[in-house]
Amino acid sequence: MICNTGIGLIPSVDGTVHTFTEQGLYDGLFLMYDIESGSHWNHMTGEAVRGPLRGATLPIENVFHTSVGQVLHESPDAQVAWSEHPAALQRSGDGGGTLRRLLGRITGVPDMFPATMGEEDSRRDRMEMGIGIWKGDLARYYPVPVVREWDNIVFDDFGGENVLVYYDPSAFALMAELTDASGASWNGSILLLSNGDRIEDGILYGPGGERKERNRPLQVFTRWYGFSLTFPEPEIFDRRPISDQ
Amino acid sequence: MTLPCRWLAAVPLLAALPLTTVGAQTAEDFDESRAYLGESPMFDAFYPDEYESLATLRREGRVNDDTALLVLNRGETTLALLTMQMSYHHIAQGELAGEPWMVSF
Repeated sequence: MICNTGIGLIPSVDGTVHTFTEQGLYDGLFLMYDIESGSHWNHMTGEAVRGPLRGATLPIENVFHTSVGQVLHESPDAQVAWSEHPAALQRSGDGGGTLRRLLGRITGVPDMFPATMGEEDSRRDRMEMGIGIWKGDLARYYPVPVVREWDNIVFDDFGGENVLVYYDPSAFALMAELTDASGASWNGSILLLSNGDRIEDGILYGPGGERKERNRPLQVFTRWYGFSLTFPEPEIFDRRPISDQ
Repeated sequence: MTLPCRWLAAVPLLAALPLTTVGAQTAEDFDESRAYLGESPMFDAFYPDEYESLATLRREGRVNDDTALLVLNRGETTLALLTMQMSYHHIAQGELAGEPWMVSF
């Protein structure tokens, strides 16, 4: 949570669903633990790092940071897993809580974290937010301040694929999307792409106004320390706009 | 000619980036000497067995439009978790349309 990393995993090992808990800490990230085997798992890569299942992996999938308003635009029938746990209710009082409120509560890592952390990558600030994307051995980080300098729109070549990284004002988060567009501009909160597509309220529409399927790389909207300790020496998108150089 | 920044963003930039990455850490890299391995969970994971309509929660005022969510898409179904609630639970796990899912945060 301190690193803000949200990941989806399929909790099934050789066709059997295991029950997972949070138990332990490594690199300032919590470790998952499955009750059935007693193994510890990296929650960002889905790999068992200790115990009988060491080396096994769980399939991972994207989980997106977004907002109620955005989801209700995109999926009016969306379901919620609502927790009645007192500690969870305490945190989600007053209308559920915004991402800004959550991030604003966290200004550094707790005292017990540094002893678990490997050598940190000093190229960016430990607590800086950004979006990390990865594919195979290729991992790249797009810091929020850098994307902001590009008017919240960055196009990049990622392993031979054209990726768009942008700040989604309806989700209050950075997003990454594979696209055949080569440029984009804002019309208010609507992102107009050069191929005729547009992204509005977090929904991708084609030139004719039809909804289009998303093609999104694996991504996490996370803090620098969590991404760079999990993916050592990642590439950083740190180019400034030419007009600023 | 001066181009607006938003279109300059379309210029391929890969040449300016290093091309050597090492991929994710693996079990081989795990250094147990600096791991904190608790004997029990510090937080209670969340194992929901039923879901509610997000629209209903919005009408009831339990959430508002700016409430932060973590969202998982499974086929035609969208499942949301409150980010603030997950900041306590850290792990949620359940079944949707007969398929297991899990979110870590």
